[in-house]
Amino acid sequence: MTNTLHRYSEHYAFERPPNPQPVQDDFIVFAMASRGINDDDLVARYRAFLRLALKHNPVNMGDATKGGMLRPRQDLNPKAHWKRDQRPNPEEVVAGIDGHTTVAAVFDNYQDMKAFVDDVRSANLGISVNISAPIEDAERCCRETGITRHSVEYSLGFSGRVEKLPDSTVLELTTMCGHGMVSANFAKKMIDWSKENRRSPAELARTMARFCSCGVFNISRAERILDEARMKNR
Amino acid sequence: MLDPSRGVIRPEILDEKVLSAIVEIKTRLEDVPSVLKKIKELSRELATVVSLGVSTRCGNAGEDRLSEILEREGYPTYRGKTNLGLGRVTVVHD
Repeated sequence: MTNTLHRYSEHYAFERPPNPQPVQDDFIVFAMASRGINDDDLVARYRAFLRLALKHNPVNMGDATKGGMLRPRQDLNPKAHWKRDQRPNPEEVVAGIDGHTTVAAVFDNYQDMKAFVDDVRSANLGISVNISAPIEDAERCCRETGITRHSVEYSLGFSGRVEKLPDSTVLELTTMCGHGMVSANFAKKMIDWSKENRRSPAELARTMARFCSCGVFNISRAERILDEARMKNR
Repeated sequence: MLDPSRGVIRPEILDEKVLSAIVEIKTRLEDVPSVLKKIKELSRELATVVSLGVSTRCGNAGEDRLSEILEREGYPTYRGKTNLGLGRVTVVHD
């Protein structure tokens, strides 16, 4: 995995369907400063980036060194999983930035992502900014906001011993944490619990998000996947 | 690495187990198909999964010549990262 690049969808299935459904709820914008090049006052600039994101309804935000809007807590034991406060805490992400890191904002629709990118362009923060999303949507966003792309990186999917991989629904969930912190067995358990109506997809998605160490797990997309999983293979 | 030109790795770390390892190769655009083909062939000999990504710098108008090559070769190119080119040098060195 390389962070947000290899997020699984039908487009990367080993037997690709003829017309895979477009992914319309997963757009990440992240920023990174380079040491000694544009890292002066980087804490203020990262905070400015995230505060701009907050104006456009992000479904998650993260600091790669500390986590996302939903984080583990050391003062709770595992029994607290389903009784704890499930509300995201974006202010904790903003306030927690204290040095070199990568910051990211995740959106579940194109319009919010585009409006944020437009704000970031206007803010002229000077740090490197990337969109991780369907390439055509990122290209369209650049066109509509007057940005000329600098470079692109394509995900070409998976090869090698792919028979070791879990099923597609599990992959859709686990690859949303590019550091591999949302394990396949954990995702399977959450899918089972969704099918059994033991917890709501929203509760399950938020619980999964806590394990993502950089905050790029898309809580809204996970909720949709877990909801749709209830109807699959019953 | 003992010899980066041949990819020779230090023997004492060859038996290490890692969660993920990233290998980066820089090549010319015209060599992309043959390099990708070789990686696909080699990936079948590995005891793990390979996630493949390829990147390029865009032209002055934001165009990229890579996507056409990848599509011609039959690779899926649906998702990726797009660098917006908003970074700039701001640190002044004496």
